[in-house]
Amino acid sequence: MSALDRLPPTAREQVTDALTALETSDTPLAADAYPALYDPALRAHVTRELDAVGRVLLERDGTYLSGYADDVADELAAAGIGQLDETDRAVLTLVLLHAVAIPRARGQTDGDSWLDAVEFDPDRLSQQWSNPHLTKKAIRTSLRNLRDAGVLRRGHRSAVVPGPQFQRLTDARNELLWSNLVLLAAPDSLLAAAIRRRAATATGGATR
Amino acid sequence: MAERLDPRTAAAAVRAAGAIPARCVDQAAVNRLLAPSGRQLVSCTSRGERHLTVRWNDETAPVIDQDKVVAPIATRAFALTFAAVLGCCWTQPDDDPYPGEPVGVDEAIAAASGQVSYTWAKGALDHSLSAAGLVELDSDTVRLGHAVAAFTTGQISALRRLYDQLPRPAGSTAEDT
Repeated sequence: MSALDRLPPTAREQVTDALTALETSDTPLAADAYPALYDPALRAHVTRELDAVGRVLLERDGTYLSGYADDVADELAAAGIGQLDETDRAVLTLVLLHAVAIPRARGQTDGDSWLDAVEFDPDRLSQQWSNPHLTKKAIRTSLRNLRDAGVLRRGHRSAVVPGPQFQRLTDARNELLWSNLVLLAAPDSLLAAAIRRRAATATGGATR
Repeated sequence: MAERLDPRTAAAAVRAAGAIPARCVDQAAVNRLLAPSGRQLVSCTSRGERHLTVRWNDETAPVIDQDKVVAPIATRAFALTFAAVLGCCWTQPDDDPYPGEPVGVDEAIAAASGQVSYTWAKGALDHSLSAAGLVELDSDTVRLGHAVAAFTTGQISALRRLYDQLPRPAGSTAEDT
């Protein structure tokens, strides 16, 4: 018998309602719409049931969503499960550079979320970055793949911005992604040097 | 994916991949972990190999309520092309739609014609519908994908009520199947 089975039927139903919504919604859930997210005791059950299947409860500004537990995400990545292919990753990096990193460096965005982005015309990617290894057609295909996966979403007209999947990243994943973007965009900066030092300390080895 | 996954990782892997080879999973152990949240593994076939995907139970299946749970909205080409594939592959309305019968890609696209152009239908088959696991393409044939195996009985009942209205190739009717 699981801990959930020992709850009264109404409370159990509230926990499963929250689990279903957390695992399927495209946007974070307001706690006041779900008793099992609002009530700390029931929320502990939600957290436990998510952990059992390799997931974590993410809380941001009083709203909730689920994501992959970091240890499980590492295992899935090592096994090559659910990964974007190399071209899609390259195109995503370029979009993040243009839609998030550059606007943030210029002070055009306020927040520190991936969704605090400036809409970006994907045609600029083809104009600026296409080459024999990353053709215009490959860029177009990747943009479609990324939109289908919810990693990007459509903005105004044909613009793209980071999509709902970014809200399912843990703090550690967000920091890792941001660090990698800094290493790419400003490899000689003081921030990049600090990131490399921290990575070297964490792994106990030397990194560039 | 050759190695057997521990049950916790396997539960997450099914979500990440949509379906994973059954040989990598202790199905009973993963089902014990999924049961409290109202889900279970069900069998499907991909590229000729038995796979497992996750199905919600009817009582816990997501109900889209845009005030609370926001879900992506299917484009017209996505929805109509999938309806055409379903109409062509689901030949026995008394049975569940999955696995159904494979059909020629051109036959499925012909069923959608008049409502969606060849280019849009082919694009939906090749990309969005394949990525969503709703169809599986194999050279010049298309079959229903693992996401259809995950339809709940409630969803299937709703589709069965629409069975006669699903697009089919010209000259073919629901009664022929």
